[in-house]
Amino acid sequence: MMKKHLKFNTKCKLCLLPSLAGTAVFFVIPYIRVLYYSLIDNQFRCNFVGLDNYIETLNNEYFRLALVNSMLIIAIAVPVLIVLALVISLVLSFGIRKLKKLRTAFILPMLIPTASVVLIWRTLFTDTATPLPIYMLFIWKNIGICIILLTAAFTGIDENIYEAARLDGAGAFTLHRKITVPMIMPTLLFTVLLSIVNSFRVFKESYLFYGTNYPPDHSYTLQYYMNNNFLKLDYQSLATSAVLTSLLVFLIVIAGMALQRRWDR
Amino acid sequence: MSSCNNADTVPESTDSISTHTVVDITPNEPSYLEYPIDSGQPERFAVSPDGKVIVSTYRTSSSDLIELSADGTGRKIGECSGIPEGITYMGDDLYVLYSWSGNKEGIIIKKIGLNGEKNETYAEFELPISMGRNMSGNENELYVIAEDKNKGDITCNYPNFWNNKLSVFRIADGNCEKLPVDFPTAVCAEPGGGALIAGCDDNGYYVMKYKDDTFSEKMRSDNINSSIDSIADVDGEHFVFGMFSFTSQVSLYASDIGNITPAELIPGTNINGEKLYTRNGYCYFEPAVSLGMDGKPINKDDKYKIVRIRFSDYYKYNAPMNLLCSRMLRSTPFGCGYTINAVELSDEETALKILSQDRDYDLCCTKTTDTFAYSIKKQGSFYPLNDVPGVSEYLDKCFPSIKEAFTDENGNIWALPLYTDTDFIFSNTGDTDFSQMKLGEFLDYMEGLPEEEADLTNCDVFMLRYAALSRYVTTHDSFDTAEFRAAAERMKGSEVMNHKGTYRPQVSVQSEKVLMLMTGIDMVRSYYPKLYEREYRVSGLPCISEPDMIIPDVTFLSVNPASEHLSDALDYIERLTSHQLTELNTFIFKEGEGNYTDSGTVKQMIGLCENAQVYFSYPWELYYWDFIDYLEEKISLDGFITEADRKLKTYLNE
Repeated sequence: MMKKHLKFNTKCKLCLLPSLAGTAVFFVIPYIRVLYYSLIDNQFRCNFVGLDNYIETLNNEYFRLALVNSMLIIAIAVPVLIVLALVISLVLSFGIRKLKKLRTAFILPMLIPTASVVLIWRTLFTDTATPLPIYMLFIWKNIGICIILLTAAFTGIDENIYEAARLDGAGAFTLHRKITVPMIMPTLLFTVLLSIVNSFRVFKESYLFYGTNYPPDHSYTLQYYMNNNFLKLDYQSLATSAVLTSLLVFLIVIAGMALQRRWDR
Repeated sequence: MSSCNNADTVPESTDSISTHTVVDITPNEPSYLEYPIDSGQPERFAVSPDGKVIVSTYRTSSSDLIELSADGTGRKIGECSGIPEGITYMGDDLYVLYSWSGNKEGIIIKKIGLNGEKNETYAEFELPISMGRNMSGNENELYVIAEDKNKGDITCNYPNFWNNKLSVFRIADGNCEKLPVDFPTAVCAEPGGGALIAGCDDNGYYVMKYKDDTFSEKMRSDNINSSIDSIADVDGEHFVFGMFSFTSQVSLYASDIGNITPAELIPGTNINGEKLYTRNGYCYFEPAVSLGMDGKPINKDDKYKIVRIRFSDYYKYNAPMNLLCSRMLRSTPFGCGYTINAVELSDEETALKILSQDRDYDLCCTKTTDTFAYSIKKQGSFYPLNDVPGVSEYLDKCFPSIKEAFTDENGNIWALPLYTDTDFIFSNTGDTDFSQMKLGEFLDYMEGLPEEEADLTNCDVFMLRYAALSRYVTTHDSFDTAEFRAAAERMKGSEVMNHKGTYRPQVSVQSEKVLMLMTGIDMVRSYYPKLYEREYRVSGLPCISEPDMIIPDVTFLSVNPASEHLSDALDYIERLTSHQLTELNTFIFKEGEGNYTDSGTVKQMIGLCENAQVYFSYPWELYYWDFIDYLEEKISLDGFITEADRKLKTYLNE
């Protein structure tokens, strides 16, 4: 039995090997290299400068501006996205049957090329005094995947549980509070984390909308900061800001996982 | 008289490449030597086995054969009747080629009696030939290339200067044999027998060898994209050739025979047609002299001469130099014997290549107007050139602002400046002084010109607009100044500034009367002789603030520190440095412009460049397109200033 177990484990590891190798080559090793670059003065002279680059980056007003703008997307656009996705998912899962056929229509924003969408967006939103067009574009683009995930979570709940609860006299509110919400919470948390990660990737849409590497201050995000430093060949600022961004995302994901573990308990 | 045999079939091909031993009989002599010719333009020249240069110069009804010396003296060693169409050595004897004239058709080859001996006819052949073009000989063969009347009107996909009418004839042992070659354009006899032939066919231009009745494969290269006018074998492994360039000049190239990769030997050299010879590892050629309508040299300092160069000093064997180029570059730098492979990439691709420390490029060639140019210095993505021989001295000869721009704060020379491309205003009519005009005054002047005077102007609006804005932004950190606002208000209502394209493009550098011509050094270089003849007043373009402020656009070369051919790259820089010091039109040296120091126009241009200040440009997108929106009334002046200042501040501080 032990032998069988070990053989199975070995097989599992072997199956994982290609994936791990790919991850190492395309993610882990480059990340370590970027980390190294963030600790030297430049990649041609390679003098170790410790945390000087990080201090310089954190003291840079435009990095801080970019960080604030990126966090605002998380604080404003992501909750709106999740709430909208939840409502639509609920309607699709528990609402009128005919509406269920519209489910696939919500995937369309993900399929349409961003450049085409931005052309329409620029016609609809001519006022660039606020970042609202970018937030709405982000929500429009990402709502599809959130709806798919949440709808799958909703439809994955066994009907018998609801039946049993109704037999016990539970009302609609209690049903959703005691059954639906706990059952979909892992998926909901995952959807939130996914949306937060996607919010850091908002750049293409914004770049095409504003048509410049220097958008209005309210839309200047971390991606712009990194991209502009790349064009200026300032690898150290680029590497440092990339590491800091990855740390931020990592912390958010850890917090999310801790929240989930707490919820499970 | 013998008739010529035609070889009806093409013998089998062979890929064998023979080599022959080359002995440098003058190893201690300079690698570059000139043989001046005082007796006028030479008709033909040849080089004896012991390296003596013999030219034929026409007098009245005959030609003298003169043995040249490098000190300019010549010794007459023989003469021949008329004008020979070819002159060459076969063994130790000198031969000349004539075509029959009058009722007869064919060629006559005469052996020249040297040192008092009589000339004698070596061979005569009755052939349908209208004009012999050249003759080349080795120990026992002569090869003649001539216009063949039998060819008729035949076409080929690839054009050559001689309209496909040439044929190659081999003369040996008293026989003449026409070789079956597709549209030959040049031939040279090879030591030990055989010949190197250049030609073209429907697949392009080619070079091939002929020996013992067999032809090699036709060797081609994408870089041989024009007709080869002359060819000569150096040592069996390398050859030199003159190829027509897009400017209708014949430039001098060299290549390996086995792997054809042309490298230009001396840039800008226009060699005179088929006058190319090799002997003992040296290459001899006659630089072409541009003649005016009166038959005299356009440039009075141009002299007729034969030039000799030591091949090994000019050609780098099998050595490509991979160059990362700015898209805005007018031309790649001279190869100095290396084959330059230039790759043009976008700004993003270039940045990625530099930051990734790619090893597959050796040099980066860009301009101070490129947005990432300054970043190369700031990021340290260069190999310091301080220890490359000649570079420090080279920079010392440059204008101070150029030297300062290419030396970093640690004293490292981070790039080699090559040349500047700056815009000027030229004028030779009227007495308007453009040198102290600001932009507003200039616009008033242009818009107030009467029609007949306006026809003597050429105003490039894009150049004017770009120069005004870019110079302003390099010396100010905000557009919110009274001076700029006033200039912007003036520009908005201006007929000139709102014009699309060139405003009144009536004159050029070829025009006689010029009231105001706005053009760059690039255009000026192409028409140097014209400028040399006429005197212009020269000034910089009008500015928004300081008048006569010149910011040169400097093209420079930096070495990739991660290059896999680093030693070759540094060797190339050393060669290029030496070569650049002989270049005549770079406008980067304090000492001026070589042969053109007599030109008042050029002196003024140099004076302006001397006072210029090198700045590295900011990206256009910071201000230019918003300014166009302002001129087109899509945004207000305050809107433009707010946007431009915001972008400028972000760019400078992020």
